[in-house]
Amino acid sequence: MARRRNDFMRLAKNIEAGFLAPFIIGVARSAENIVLQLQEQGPAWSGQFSNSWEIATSSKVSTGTGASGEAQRLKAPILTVDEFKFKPEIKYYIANKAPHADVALDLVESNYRYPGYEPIKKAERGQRVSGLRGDLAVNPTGPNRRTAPLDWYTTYLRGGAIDKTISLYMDQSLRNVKL
Amino acid sequence: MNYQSIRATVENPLLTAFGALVPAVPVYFDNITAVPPNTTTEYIRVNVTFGITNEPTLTSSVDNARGAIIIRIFTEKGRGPARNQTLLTTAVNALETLNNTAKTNSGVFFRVGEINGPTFSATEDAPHFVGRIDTSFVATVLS
Repeated sequence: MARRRNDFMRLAKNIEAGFLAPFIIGVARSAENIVLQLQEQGPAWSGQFSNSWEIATSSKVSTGTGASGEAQRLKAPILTVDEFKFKPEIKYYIANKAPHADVALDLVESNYRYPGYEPIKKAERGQRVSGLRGDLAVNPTGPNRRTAPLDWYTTYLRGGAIDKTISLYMDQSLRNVKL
Repeated sequence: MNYQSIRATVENPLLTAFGALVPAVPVYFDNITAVPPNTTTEYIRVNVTFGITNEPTLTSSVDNARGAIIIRIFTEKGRGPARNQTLLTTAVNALETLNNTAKTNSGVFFRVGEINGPTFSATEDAPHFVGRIDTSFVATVLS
């Protein structure tokens, strides 16, 4: 009797996992594509910042290599059924672990220093107005450069692009569901 | 879409609020390159950025835009956060008035979202103590 009950519970769990799989995959793809867009829209001089994004769940973490060069795609850890259903309310944390991340995100001021090599991303020339990385009075002969506009990160978070990415990849994942 | 009227809806109340202070505090908006003559002088930096325009699911109107408002308050370093917080309060109050404006038949209907911050920073190299807030906005141009 107990064995039959266990089999039934296992079957119920499998059905539940199958039902939730498109949602779980959808949020994972959304997180991956958010990072991809942050890599595309953010600054990139050596590429270390672009490769220092991290996607974390409450139990697992995927971390970028932090290496120089072109941005590498980051895979999101897959949520377990229980993580998706219950705790915590926030499913994924996305953060950048580069030592100079706050400067790249235009959160704190810094001094412009030419690192001795050219950026991997197209740069705009000008003169820094305040100490913020992207705060540049554009001028083709200016001494300073930026590879992403001022407040690119806040604009991405607050301007609706992140919501659009999530709905796009959730839709894409759920479109494959056959009922 | 009239981006200029949306920008004016944000910028005017902030300019008025900081202009009414004694002494008035200068406000620098996007693409205004004037640097304060004395770098220890306090000033305000306001950036209005646009994200998605005419997202069909947002409202029934198609003449709408989403974006972000980032306000940075630069005050003298080494003097505590009080002055910076006073100026931040002025900025937050000005943003809150935007949410109290009734919807009319013309002009711009403007709503800001939750305000993130303030966060403070003071780096070794820079002469200022910087307070920062940001918020999202949704604006509908009513014709």
